Amino acid sequence: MTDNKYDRQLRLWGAAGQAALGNTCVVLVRATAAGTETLKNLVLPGVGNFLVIDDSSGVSDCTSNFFLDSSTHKSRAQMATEYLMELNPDVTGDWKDISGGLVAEKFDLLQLFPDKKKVLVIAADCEPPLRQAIAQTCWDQNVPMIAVHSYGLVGVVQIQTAPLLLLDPKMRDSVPDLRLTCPFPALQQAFEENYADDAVWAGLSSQEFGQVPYPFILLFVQKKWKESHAGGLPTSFAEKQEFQAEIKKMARNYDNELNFQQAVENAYLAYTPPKTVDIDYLLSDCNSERDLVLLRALQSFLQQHGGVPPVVGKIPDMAASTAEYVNLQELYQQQAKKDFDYVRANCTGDTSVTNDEITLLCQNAVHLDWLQTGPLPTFMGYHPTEDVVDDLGASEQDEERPEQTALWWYLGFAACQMFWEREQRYPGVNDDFEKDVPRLLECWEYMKTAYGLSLEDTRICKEMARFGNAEVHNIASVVGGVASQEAVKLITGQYIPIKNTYVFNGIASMGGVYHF
Amino acid sequence: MSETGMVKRPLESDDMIIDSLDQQQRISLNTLLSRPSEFGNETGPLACGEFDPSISLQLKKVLVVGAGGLGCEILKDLALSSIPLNVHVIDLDTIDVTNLNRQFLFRQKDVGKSKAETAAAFIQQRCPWIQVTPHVGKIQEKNLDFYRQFDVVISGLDNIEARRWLNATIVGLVDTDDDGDIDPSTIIPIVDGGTEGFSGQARLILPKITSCFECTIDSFPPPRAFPLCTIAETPRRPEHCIAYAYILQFPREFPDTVLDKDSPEHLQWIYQQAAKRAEHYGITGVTYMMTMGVVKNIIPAVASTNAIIAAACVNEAIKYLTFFSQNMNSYMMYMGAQSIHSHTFAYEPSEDCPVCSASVRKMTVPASITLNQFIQAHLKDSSLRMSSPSLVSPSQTLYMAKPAALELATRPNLDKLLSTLIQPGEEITVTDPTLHGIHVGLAITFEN
Repeated sequence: MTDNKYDRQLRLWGAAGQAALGNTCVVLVRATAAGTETLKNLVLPGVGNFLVIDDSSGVSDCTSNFFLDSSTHKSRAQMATEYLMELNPDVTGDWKDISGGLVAEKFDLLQLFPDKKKVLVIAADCEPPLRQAIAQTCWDQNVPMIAVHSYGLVGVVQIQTAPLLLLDPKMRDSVPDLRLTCPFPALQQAFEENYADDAVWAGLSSQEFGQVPYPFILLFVQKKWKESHAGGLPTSFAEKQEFQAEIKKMARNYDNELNFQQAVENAYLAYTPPKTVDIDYLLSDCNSERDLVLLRALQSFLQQHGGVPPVVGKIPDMAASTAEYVNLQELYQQQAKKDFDYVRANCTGDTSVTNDEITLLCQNAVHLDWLQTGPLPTFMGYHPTEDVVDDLGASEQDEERPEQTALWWYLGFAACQMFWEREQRYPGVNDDFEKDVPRLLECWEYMKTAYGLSLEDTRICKEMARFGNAEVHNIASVVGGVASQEAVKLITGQYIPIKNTYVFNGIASMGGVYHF
Repeated sequence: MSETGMVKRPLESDDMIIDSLDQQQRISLNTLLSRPSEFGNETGPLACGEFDPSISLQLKKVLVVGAGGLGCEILKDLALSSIPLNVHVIDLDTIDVTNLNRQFLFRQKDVGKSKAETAAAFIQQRCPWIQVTPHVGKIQEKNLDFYRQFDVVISGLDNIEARRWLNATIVGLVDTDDDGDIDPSTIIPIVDGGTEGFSGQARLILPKITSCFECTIDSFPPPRAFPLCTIAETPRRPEHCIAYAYILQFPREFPDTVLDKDSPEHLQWIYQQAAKRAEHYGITGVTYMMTMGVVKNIIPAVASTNAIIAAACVNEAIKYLTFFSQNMNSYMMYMGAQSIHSHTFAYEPSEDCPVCSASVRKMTVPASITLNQFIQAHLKDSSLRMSSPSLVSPSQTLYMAKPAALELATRPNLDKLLSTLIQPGEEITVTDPTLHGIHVGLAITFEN
């Protein structure tokens, strides 16, 4: 019962999320500031273990990297590993110093870890061939990967993963699942036995009257409405206003009856049907055995229940007596259990599907979606899909100050990567940085055309050349935070990861998520 | 005012350029300071100064308020910004084991020690080129001269009242001459960050130019307490049972003991009482973890969000101190739970902000209102959210909350009708500890 050092984060991802973290090995390629910051934010919350892979390096850049010092007798990989391990005694770290430099051809990620399932790779500030080699290996072996770059005042985080069924998006549901348009039998029965007649309501004491939970108020007003509207529900705005007025009329002392006020506030629940599940979309392109089992079981449920998803079982707090509330909650919980049992009975095939997964499936049925990041974008020679081009065309852009739009800075970053592919170095690394601008502009034009975009502005390329791939710690720390946050989502299978790129423009302090 | 003079530059990694591809060192921010830009600070939406790549930087003084989740990150980011800085950090708190998942300058062995001192010592050791001076104590204990010495204040506080005090103090330092013109040399920017779970915000406050913290307190509504009748008579959720145990039961059973929210014994007692109550009412879900959460009002916290927000704050501070790029105008919101949504916008100053606008507030009140009723309804429970205000008019002192002797002397006024205490057309001046150094002017008219 003593205070757990992970208490503050357990409140976000629970024991299951923490266990997933503890079972994961994070492999960092390149101990740059962006890389070590990402790793720091994974070591602190208790990732199982990590491996740092880096070049031997004569001079360390300790003035922008917290996990290096100015000593020269240790490799950068070793130095970073030792400083990172200090952060959390629960975590073990290892390192590999690749003498001769990290180049794509010499690099074999697979050698390094036998159990690929529980690995996540972070590629920090890797130039195009190395980045691509890592991405290809990870894609082929089904290992999730995050590429993180800090480039002057621009930061980029990109994720690549096999298609993921997002079972636990942790949406803060503003619409409670009360089923008032299609009450399940037990709810209907409770209503009919206790609250379906005028006489019953009239017989309640004023205290009892003010403590009837609002779902029953709504079912009653709904019943009356149907009786005088040939079984129909309010559809027009005027009808909905009228429906709410009926609730107020029913109250004895509306200003002091919180339950009736809540009934008015939530009146839409009495005439808005629950969200549906697009099960066909979810099943299309599904290749994973586990996901097929879950989705097919959900499909059976929907077919058997007129397209209505499993009951969530949780209800919000509402004005009511203790007994009324507890009994009402019990009705929903029992129905949720029945629905869970049905779905579980229909999970045939992969016996490794867990009860927790089935519970998540049932409770999040209306929010289920796939994350399809696609493979990590490349630069020179890249041909984005039509979907990507359409999405980008519709992206929000600042009219007054276009240079604030993060999208343009990704383009500048992409132009610099393409420059590297042509010249084997980044633009602006030498003192005469302006000389690189014309060739960088060519790369900019190429990337712009590939993505179907248009912006006539040479300033961005000039600024990218000025940056000269500078390592600015603050930007490295921002993307290190974002990359580690995304890593936690991928590892725990909770919340919703980005699809697939976050760009941070540190000039305007503006970010954006884009699908490249 | 900042000190002048050069400070020895830290090891300049691009002083030694190695030719081979995989060993070429990357440029640092220091080099960018000497390269001209099309996006110098003067070109931005909030222009604070003009970028001149040819001048060398003088030493700047920075105050970091708070050495916790944001504070540790802010100190690291400042140390690795490769510009000459003299940093001070202030925090009253000691290290708790639940800090260790993100406050990375602290280790298990440091539990119980001062946050400010431990953080300062760690940074000095890892980054010997920077000076960090710790202050252990409340921000309210420092005088105006202390705050005046800084070029920028970066705040990683975890509560609204302290932010309001800091904001009022720093904004209060701005001198305006008789013509209403601001003396720019008295403007000290506050960069303020806050986080909660996967969300956070970073904002740049230029006193009297952008919105200040007080302009936006409506966006931080006071925490909603459960209604007392729910807690006492109709509990429904496990949280209600916990609230009953610590708000009602504990004071009743231990009338001479002050509840210590950090005491495991007190928390255990509350948890067990809550569990008993829940069982009696057929309510499930009371856990020790939930008990801690309700009693201490715990906000979930992780390293990643703190890293993002702190770095965005220090980024703005460095841009302000060097003008090497634009400052944001002026507020960035960040939400990272479902994908990532970040939004940067200019939060407009509030026209009748008691701290940063000079306007006199006009109020209309019933003729029958007493001074005490006025204080409760219009100063404390209103949008002004004052804690214990004092009021004076040009002709008399209406009520002084402190010192004790003056409070006693002015207490009889509380029950008098306000209309008998003010002359027609008199402006009342109100002060409050939350809004340190600020004088709020009121012009009151009485109905009928």
